[in-house]
Amino acid sequence: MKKLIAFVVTSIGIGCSTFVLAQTTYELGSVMLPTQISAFGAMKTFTVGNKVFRILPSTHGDGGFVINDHGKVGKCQGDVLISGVSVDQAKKALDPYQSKIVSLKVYDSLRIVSARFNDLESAAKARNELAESIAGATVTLPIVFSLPKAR
Amino acid sequence: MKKAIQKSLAGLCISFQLISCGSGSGDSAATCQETGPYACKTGATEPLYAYQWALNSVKSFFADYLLVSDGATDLNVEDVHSQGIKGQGVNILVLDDGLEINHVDLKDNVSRSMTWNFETNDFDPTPTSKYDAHGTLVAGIVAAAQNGVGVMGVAPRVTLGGAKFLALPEGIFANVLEAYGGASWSKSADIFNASYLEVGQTPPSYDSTNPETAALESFPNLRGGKGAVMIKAAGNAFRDEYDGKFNAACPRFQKGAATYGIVSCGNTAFDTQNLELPVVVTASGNAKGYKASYSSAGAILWITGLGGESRSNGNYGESGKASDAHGPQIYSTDLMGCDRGYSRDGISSKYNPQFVVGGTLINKEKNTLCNYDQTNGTSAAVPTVTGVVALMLSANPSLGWRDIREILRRTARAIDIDYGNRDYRNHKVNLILNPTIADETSSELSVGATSARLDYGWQTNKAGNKYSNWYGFGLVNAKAAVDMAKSYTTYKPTKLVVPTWTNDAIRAGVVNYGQVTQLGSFSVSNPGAVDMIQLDLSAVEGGADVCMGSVGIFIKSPSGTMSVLNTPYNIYYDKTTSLVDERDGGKISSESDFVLGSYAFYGESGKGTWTVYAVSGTPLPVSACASNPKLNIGYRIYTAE
Repeated sequence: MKKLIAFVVTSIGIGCSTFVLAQTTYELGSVMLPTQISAFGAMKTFTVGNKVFRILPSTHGDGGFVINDHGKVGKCQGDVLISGVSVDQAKKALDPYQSKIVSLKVYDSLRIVSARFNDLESAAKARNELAESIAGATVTLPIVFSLPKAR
Repeated sequence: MKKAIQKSLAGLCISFQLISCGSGSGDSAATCQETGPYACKTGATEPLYAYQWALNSVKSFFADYLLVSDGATDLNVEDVHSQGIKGQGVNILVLDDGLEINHVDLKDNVSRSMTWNFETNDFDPTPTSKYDAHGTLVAGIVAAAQNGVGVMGVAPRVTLGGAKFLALPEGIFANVLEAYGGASWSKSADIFNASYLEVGQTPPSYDSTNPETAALESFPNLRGGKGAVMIKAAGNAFRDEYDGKFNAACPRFQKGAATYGIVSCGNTAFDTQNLELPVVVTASGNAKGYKASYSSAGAILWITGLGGESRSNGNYGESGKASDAHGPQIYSTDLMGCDRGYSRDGISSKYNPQFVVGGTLINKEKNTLCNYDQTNGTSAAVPTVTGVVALMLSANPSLGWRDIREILRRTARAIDIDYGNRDYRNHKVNLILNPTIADETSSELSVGATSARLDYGWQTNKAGNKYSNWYGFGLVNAKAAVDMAKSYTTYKPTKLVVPTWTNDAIRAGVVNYGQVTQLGSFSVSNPGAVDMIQLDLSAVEGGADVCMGSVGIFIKSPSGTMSVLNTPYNIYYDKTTSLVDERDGGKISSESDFVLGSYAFYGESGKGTWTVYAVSGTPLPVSACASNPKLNIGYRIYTAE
């Protein structure tokens, strides 16, 4: 019953996809049932490495929620991180993507460059291309599936 | 015997005050480099020191309560303090649910240039919720000042930073890169204290979407290229896992009329951050010198700190017996006031010692303002190790991140040496439903057998290194670590070379639930000494998912050492108590990258043939696990520099 989506209202017509989009919130790390997923209809997807993620409809103006192949809910902000090479090399590698990048941060102490893309598909495409093209670099597109808890 | 000797030494100290045994008078006047009123004095200057058994067990209040304390187990730190080594010049960053920066016992050590609040986006991490006391407790264990008030931290002159990083309101996500050394307030940290864990409901994937990988692999860039370390919690899920939503219990194994918890429910590798080399994964020990009842096990533990037991009762935690998970916890700072924090008015004395229950006689006498508390968990064990590392760096600031790991490892003490033969852990278990303990005690792993031993206890590998899935390389030893740090000259390279994965080294290894199967083997030509080996597991494409809640993964090195990377009947097996009951048995698919690791082969040559086994229990019918699924397995080996 639980599963990932907490339906705020008690009656939701599966066919009323617009209503569902407006009235749902997503619970990080939860796993959606196939019936819940199918209620969203066709969803945009992106691929990171060999993994396919589906982009959940945004709710309350808060986008970036995705599900993996098991229906597990994660949050992706579209940040491509480049590490393992010099900062200059990383920045130069991002030049071809300037039109899709909305902000760039350089973490000098860690020697990591972070580029936020304007959409997840573009971020994933850039991540995959950069992972192939920058020798020695680690290129990641962080997706958060769980949050740390005091232990 | 050990206790008797220490008692005798304590007696000598009392009789001959000229002999300093950490009495607070100091014995190092000729060599003491510390200045000030507390120069080269131990924590005996602090009024609550008698309850800080982890700093001096033999003279602690608990030493006479033999059911909960052996009067001997501690960090072995007093001699270091008596030398005046107290963390000077070292920066510690506590990433937690906040930090009360104006606490009377912390404020002298807090640096306002090393604080941040991800909830409010300002520099004050003081929590607003009265329940968010965890970070203040953790900070006090490592950094409470020596000032004649309250308690003293393991490194009482360290520079302390902290962030409101955990327990953020829904929808607020901390920027991991900023927290992990990328921001102005975090970049000068020498040690990151991470008393937390990420616990998911399903097996995690370790891949290019992991949020923390880039930052942790970049830790060697910090400290001007010497590299920082993160001291991190192993988890408190040996028996079960409760966090309000995801409540998982694990099966117990039956022998006669009784049942035994043979395996750890949680595995330290289930938090993918713990797979990164700059992360020092820390288990928890109790005052009896055993693993704390809750402390999660696993093959990527590095070290054991002291975190006390689960249940603390009596006036100060002296009641009960350790075998029932009773015992003293770790005394530390709490949010100030009797209306906030863990020590406050109105809490139950049924579950807490009088010291922390506001208004009781003991509380009024010793903790009038409720500014102090005691806590347990690997959360508490972590800052004891953080403190020891601070002392090491104070003694030798040139140590790199690999040197820190190396010194901790080489100076650790093997404790509870016979645990592998206790409570039927040396017996095989039947790998069938309603798991039971067999009479056979052989540790031989027989392919096709329906029983196997699941815990090998302490093992000595072919490089001569002792390792345990309960304790890592052993209990931290402050004096030995600082002594080695002072004389250390063979510094290791600080560059972290991340090895590439050899994918599908084993293709389509068949898992037979309820028995032992050999999944396959792979050969390695790299002659380097092993630091950590990691395996990347996924189901074969087009094949059935594999239920990792039932599948143990064992690996034998070319030298013949066996390591248990994952046990069957783990946290993903059965979530019958879960409020969000997935009950899928911990399925991984062809898209999964379920990564496990092991330090048990540290120092051995990696060259030769490695053999991987599945030791599988029987999934619950409700998990709907397909029979005979197949695994693809990749590997990579970090070499010891």
